[in-house]
Amino acid sequence: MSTVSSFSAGLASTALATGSHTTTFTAAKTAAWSGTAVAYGDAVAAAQGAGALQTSAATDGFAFGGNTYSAHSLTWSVDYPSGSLHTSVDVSVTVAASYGQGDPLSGYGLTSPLVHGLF
Amino acid sequence: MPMPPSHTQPAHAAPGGTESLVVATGGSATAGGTTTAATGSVDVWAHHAGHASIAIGDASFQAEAGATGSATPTAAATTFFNESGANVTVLLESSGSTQGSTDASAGSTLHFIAIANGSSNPHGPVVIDVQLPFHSHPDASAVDASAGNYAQVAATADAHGTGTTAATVSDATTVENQFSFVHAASLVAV
Repeated sequence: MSTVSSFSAGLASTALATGSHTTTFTAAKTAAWSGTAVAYGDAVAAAQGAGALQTSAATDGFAFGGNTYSAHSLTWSVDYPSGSLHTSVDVSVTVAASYGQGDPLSGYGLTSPLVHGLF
Repeated sequence: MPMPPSHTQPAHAAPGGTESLVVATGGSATAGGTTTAATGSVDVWAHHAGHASIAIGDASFQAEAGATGSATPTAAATTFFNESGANVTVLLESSGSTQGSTDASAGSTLHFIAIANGSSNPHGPVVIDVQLPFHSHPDASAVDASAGNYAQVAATADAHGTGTTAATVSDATTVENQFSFVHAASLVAV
């Protein structure tokens, strides 16, 4: 049985907002160690004004290694008028993970731990 | 003096059948492997009352695949939503996938509400009283992806009001021991 010891993860998040009042927020976090790789990211774009508005929030990520890969993304978009103003909000969240066929103890010098007799 | 609700004001948005709100939504699902299942459903309901138009709907697509030997299973699912003429839109879209050495699955789902307030007072209040009919969806959880190749899809578009348009397109394809594919889209103009 071959053992895959290379795990990596990456994520990109972008947020764009145009209008008289705008705010954006992005976050991207990744972690990888022998056995698991995880990526998380979110993006928020909000704009408010009387003129033309545009908001865009997008996230995309990956995790590599192991024998199982899973990913989930969620996007939420709301546009509505409020009095003479128009409001637009976009939110995007992505989580990606890869795991399996790694040795989580390899970084601790315990590549072949003996657990017989402990349980 | 407070403004009266817009739904009590004379309509001018689409009295002669000129659509003010157009919505198109749908998606696709593809599963590749020796055993595959792809399902999808699209439901859109729209109503035009002269002063305002509303469209509500959802789309859901799932794919599951299994493979034996050296073959790698694949699964992908996507949904889309496009609108024109809406003053208010709410869209929630969720998608996910899992890839293993012998099985793969993917799913994508969206829900939306789009409102076009065509009254003479576009900033006034709009009162919406909606009673949605029941729609049956293909139940992906009931699909056994461990046997054969399966594809099922359904699309509905329900438009109410004068001068409205509704259209759907769907297709499902399977090839034995190879893949399953479904695609569907619904369009309403009210």
